[in-house]
Amino acid sequence: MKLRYIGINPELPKEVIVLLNEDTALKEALIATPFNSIKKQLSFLSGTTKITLEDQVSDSDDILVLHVLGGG
Amino acid sequence: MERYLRNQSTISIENQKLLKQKTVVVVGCGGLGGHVIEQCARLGIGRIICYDSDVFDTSNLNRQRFSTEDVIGKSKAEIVKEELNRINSEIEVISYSKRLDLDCMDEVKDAHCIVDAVDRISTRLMLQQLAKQLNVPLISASIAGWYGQCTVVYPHDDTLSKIYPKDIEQGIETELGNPSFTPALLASIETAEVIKVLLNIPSNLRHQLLVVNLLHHEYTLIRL
Repeated sequence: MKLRYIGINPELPKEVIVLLNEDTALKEALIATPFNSIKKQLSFLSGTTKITLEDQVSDSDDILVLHVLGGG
Repeated sequence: MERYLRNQSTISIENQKLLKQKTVVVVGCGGLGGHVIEQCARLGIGRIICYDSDVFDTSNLNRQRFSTEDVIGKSKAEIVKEELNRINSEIEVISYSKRLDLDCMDEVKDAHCIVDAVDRISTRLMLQQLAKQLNVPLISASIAGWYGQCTVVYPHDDTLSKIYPKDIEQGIETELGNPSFTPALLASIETAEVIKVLLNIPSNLRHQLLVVNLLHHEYTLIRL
């Protein structure tokens, strides 16, 4: 699995959104919190089911990791 | 039309006249919204409707376009209206010192697009719903520190539902803050998208999120 960090220092512990690329089976955005646990546990935006990345994503998947930006 | 001379040929005379007939709703008159509103006025968009329930405070002075020391404590919406009248008296400005919500449909029923310049995630998702009900596009941006993002949401796209969780109100801006340069840039991107929407110029920010990293100058388009 390849994690691709977009925008923000990946060492900052914070909620993140994970977007899988279009070719993967998972197309929904995911949230992980805190950031440094992303490899361990994720939850779907639309539900409460907990999953592990290793169960859902193959080594060839490219995953984008984004922090939640909310300022205006 | 002399005041719009420098808009040409980016905006033709014909399109300049078209902008005069358009209505834009800007929700939030702070970091993003202040710049968007000013740019829309200078571009000659005929009617600008803006909403903000807040008053200016000292912490706004670092970045918000219409914040000055002498307006601390005054309504953002009212100050914006005063300033826009000085910038362009040929356009109509309607400002509301209150929050926009789904009960305000009648006030914004003539909008051609809505600009999201708010700082609460629940409000952003409400604006997406409002824009859907009005059947108009929503131009959305958000910021935190050196970072920002922008996308254009057409009715039924529901793009914001893909990038914002429902159970939090704020993002990493609570840690990174909001310096002056990030809202100014993201507001300019929002305004460019407003013009594309109003003039039917295709935008590649529909179904895509532009993520801006000003620290390392990385600009990434992510398909949503």
